[in-house]
Amino acid sequence: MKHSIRIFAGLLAVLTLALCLIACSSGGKDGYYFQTNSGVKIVIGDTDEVVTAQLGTPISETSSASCGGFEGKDYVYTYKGFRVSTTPAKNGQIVCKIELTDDSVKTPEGVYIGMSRTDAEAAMKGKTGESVGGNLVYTADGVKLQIVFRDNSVAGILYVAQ
Amino acid sequence: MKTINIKFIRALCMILALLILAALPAMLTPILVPKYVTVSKEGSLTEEYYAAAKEVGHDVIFIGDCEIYESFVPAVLWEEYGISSYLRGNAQQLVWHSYYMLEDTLRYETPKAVVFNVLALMYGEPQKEAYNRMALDGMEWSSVKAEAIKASMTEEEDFLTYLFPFFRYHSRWSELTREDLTYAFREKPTVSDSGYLMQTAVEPEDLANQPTPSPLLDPNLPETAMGYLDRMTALCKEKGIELILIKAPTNYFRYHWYDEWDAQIVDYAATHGLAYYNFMDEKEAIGLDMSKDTYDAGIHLNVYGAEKLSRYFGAILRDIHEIPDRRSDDAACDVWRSRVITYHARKADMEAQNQKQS
Amino acid sequence: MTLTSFPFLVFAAVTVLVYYLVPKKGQWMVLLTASTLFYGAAGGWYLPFILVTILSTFLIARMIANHAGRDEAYIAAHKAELSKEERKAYKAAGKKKRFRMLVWGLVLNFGILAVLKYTGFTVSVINDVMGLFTESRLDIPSLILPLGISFYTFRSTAYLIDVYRGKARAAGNLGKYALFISFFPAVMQGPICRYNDLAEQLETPHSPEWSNLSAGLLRVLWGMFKKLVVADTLMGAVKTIVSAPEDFGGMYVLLLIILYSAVIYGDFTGGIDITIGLSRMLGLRLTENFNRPFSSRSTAEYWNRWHITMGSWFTDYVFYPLSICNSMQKLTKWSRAHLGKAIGMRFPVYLATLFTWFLTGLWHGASWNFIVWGLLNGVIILVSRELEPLYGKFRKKFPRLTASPFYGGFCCVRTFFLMGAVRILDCYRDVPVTFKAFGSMFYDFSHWGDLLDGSFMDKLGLTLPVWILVGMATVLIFFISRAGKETPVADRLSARPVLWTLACLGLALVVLIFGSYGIGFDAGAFIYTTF
Repeated sequence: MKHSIRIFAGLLAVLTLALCLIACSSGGKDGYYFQTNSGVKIVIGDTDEVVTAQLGTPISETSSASCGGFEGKDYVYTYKGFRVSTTPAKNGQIVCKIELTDDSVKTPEGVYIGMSRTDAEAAMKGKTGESVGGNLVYTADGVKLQIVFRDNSVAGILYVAQ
Repeated sequence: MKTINIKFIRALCMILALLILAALPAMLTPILVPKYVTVSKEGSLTEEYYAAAKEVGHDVIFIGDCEIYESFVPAVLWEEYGISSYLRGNAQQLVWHSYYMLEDTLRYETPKAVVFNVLALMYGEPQKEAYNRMALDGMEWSSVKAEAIKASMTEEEDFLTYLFPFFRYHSRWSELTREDLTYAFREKPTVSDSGYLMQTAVEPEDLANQPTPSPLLDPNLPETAMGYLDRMTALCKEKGIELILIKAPTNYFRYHWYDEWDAQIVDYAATHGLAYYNFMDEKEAIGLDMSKDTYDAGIHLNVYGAEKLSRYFGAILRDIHEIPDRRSDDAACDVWRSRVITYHARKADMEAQNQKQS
Repeated sequence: MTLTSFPFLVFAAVTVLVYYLVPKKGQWMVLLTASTLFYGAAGGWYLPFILVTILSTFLIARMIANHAGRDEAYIAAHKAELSKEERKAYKAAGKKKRFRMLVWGLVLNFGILAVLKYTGFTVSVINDVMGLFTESRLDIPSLILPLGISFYTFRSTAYLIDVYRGKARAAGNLGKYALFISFFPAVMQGPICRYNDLAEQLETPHSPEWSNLSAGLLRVLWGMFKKLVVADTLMGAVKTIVSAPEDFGGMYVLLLIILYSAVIYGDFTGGIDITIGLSRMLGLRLTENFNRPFSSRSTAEYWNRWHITMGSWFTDYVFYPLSICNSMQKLTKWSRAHLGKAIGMRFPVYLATLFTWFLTGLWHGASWNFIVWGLLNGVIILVSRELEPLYGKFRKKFPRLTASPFYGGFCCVRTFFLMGAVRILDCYRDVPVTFKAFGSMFYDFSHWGDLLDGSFMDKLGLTLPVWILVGMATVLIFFISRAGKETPVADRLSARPVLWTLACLGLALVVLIFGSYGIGFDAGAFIYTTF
């Protein structure tokens, strides 16, 4: 009996240690998001409240219906330095794409349009990304951050759903 | 004796309950499924093909997304060139939908040419459940449909709901309309003209206010999509069908067709000995005026634009691809006469409605 | 695999079939295999966590029981040699050792629960405090949270304490004990069964009996009806109200109190009905977790009828031990001496009550909302207790009125709204928003027009037919619940095969057609599985 108790206790100790590792490594990770210069945080999948209530009047607004005659429209709101696209979803109109269009804004990691490839890669150091067609794609929590390069400098920065 | 009776009653009750439980959902399904007669008409396009295929053979089958069913008018192709054709397109019909749509078509007829619109090649993964349902619910059951469903399902979908649509549409009980009851057990009116979904409204293209397209992430079209194009090419070759690739003349920023992709298709067509027509560069030759020939600011052509494109492409089909003129075939003439009359009547009716509204 | 999902129903049906097909000796193994598969399917990484709980509590309970047995045997063998004092001292020393073992077991298991469930909250509180002095913040870690951890931790620790107290025998078979902890119908959201109530049943062989199968199946269908037709249908409206408190104040908050009460009732009692029904089909009788809670006339009565097994856990393992522990007795003495008899008598009871409710809130979730929810419940119960003499006087003065059904109904409605008002803390994103929303009922009357012209239906995203459906379902639940006061309706119907068939058929069809499942619905997981 004593012997089996020791085996049990040993097994238990090993399992408990393993738990600590599992608990830390299996949790979710925060997704990528964009923050405007005025501090408004825009997250892919959020409702369009961020556009209608926080970002103010856009420079321009374009809408178009989806094929198939479904209710609702897709919208593209253009602001200084970035564009936000929204689309109808179960929980209302949601943000489906954020695109940075000039160097007046940058990602929370510090990447901006026109930045050199080396600097952009340095800014994203520590994040695991993949190379797609010579460009970089970082994915976390259902959001893709795409950094597109042309002539070794950043030509496009996009946030889209995974 | 009493025990036997109780056991018998229990067993009978169980069996009856199970039978009724299985039968009732089956009986309710025709009422609950969407009818796609006045709203989201695209949902009717797939099922309308089967009756048409029984009427007459088609020498040209168009396959693809909205750029197919809004860009080509079979009635015009018949009237002008005697070409018997049908469009098997659907809203956001992705390339695997198109491949299986082709396989499904070949169960009924073997056309001389298949015209495929390349825009959907930009998608490498299933997109929206609603579009899957619209493209696939109307398909007649066969192993092809089963394969099509498996290839198309999004993560949230379940094959079971295609077998038993009741489980997908039960929640429509609170939104049933007169249309649902009217067409539950009765034949629906056709919404298309040989697969062409007519739009008579005019909303000019506004290029000045259109945002520039996003920079292209991957110059290569997705491998999955190209894999299905390979399968389509092989299938056509095997059946002796000429596969013709096209790109409709519209190019809206949200569905932008990039030069890099176009170059890839040009290469692909050259490698496989296929014809490829990109009508985006031929608007002038076609005679398109995007201030009049689109109904949604340049995303799709309206009927006036589609008629122009059909005339232009009909000549190509006749002269380059040698699609025969069937106007000497009496049986075909009878069928097409009726289709052309329906087409013109629908056009006149819709134009009158437009005028009334304006 | 939620309890109402198609895969779960198939899984449950296959389990019931195999359970009765295998030799009776192997029935518990079928259930253990099913429970392991079920738990593993929820997340492979969850398994090591429940395994540690099972192993640690099994092992420590065995050690406690062995130690107690050895002590008893020693005393019995040396009865003649030892004096009474020596025997007493020996017993006390043994008890101290066993207490140390118990503490190790509790620290390990509550420690796992605390780390996994409360680290994020603790760090965010530290960040809030740090925010007063500095701009730097600690990263909030994202930790795994095994399915039903709050429930199985409570079940296993209750077992451990019961073994220590000598109220339960220590399990001899690890496999059978593992089944008690992980029994799949109850692992996600309870009820928090006690070892003495369930373990023996799990080990006893069962034959298929019509009464168990029929009553169990009907109860499963009834649970699905409550969950899918009422709770999930109304959940969308609840989410709409709480996601935009600035747009849905005043009347909508009142509506929220009613709607969320219906949602949580349908969700939780529905889930428990499925659990108890399925267990019944396996020949097992689980402890009831609800007893018509919305017919309670007072808060104290409500908590005796709602989530009964959780309430009794906190009473048996927190409130009572806390009330009679040495420190509390010292505190009682001190407070009587320094604060006077009236306050001194109450002070320790108040403290124990509030601490128990603080823990109850914390058990429900790692946020200030739940802590405030728990404390508010405690305060309401204490205030009610203080007002009891007044109520007594009122009852004496108006005996006919207070004995009338009208007064009874009034008390029920009052308790319903009181508990409902506190419950909305579950819904809103933080405590200030909840209080602001609650307050708006008394100054923002701008939305009452929506109720009068019916536009509230559209604003909450539910059509008139859906409101009518939910209304009818609620009335049905009320009458069925009343009819089952003495004998459950499922048992009465199972004795009448034709009626039973009609009831099953009707329920199944209603669930199939009107239930919120499949695409188009965010087929919500059961709310209590997240606690």
